[in-house]
Amino acid sequence: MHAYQDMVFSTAARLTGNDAQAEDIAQEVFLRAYENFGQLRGSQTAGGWLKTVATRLTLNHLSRYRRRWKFFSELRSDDSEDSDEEIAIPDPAPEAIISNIDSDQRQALIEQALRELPEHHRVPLVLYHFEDMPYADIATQLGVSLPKVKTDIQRARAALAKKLARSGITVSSVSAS
Amino acid sequence: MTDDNDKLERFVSDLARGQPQRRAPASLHSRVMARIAQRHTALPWWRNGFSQWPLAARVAFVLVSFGFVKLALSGVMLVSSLLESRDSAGGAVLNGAVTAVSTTVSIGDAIVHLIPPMWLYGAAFFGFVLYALLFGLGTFAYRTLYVES
Repeated sequence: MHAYQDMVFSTAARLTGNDAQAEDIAQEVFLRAYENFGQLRGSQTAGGWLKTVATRLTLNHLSRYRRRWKFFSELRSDDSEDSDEEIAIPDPAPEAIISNIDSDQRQALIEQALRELPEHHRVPLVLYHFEDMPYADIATQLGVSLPKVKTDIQRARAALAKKLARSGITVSSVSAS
Repeated sequence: MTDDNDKLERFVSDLARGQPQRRAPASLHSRVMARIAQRHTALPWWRNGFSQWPLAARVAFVLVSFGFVKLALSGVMLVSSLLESRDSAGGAVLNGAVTAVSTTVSIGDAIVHLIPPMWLYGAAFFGFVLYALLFGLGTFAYRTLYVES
């Protein structure tokens, strides 16, 4: 469990943006692993199994939560996100900014910026960039169209870069490390 | 625009690649272990799933269930036979019960008809508003006290 707990927790925490919920999900993942211990013991794919289960349980959790509270908290239509308007690129462009933030601080700021993204941006972005899930799989998992996933991820990148640029995190600082 | 999008994609990919895993809370391990230990503690067999019940208990449960089904069917047959023989003492008791029920329903119906319809609509609307209000308060409390924390 020690070998995988950070990975499982990270997946859940980045997708939910909420550490308490992520801990609950991680607990459930390891309980399921315990139930399947015979099959997982000594398996080379145990890490992949845990990651898949963590992702699936988190997405289930988020969809339940979304259904339950959408009426009160997300009255605006998601269709507004599908418009063809241009995606705002942070100004100045990230590469143009120079930053001197140390590594630990930068990592904390990135996690904070991810947490601050709205769920419909954060989830596809994390699935694509952090969980290495292809666009088509993300569309299937989230039950939305492929173009919408791509648009959401583009918008999420722009929003993330904008937040990070305000904190001084830039392409140059990331590339240099 | 595509150039900018490519730059952004590379930027975020670089960020993700360089980002280490989050450290799991220290409490996670102990929570999982506690839950596993809880499963191992001797729960009474009837609090486990049916498939984990002792074989004798499962067989007994199935037999008792069949017994209840048979009893229910016998009851239905008994009532229908009583209805057919209304002259019997059992039939009289049954007729009395039916009369009591129908009288109660008639009284209820008469009371409802005495109340002006607008009052009934008003009461239904009031009930709906109260339900929506409580649901909204519950949502607010959940989001404020649980989700935000």
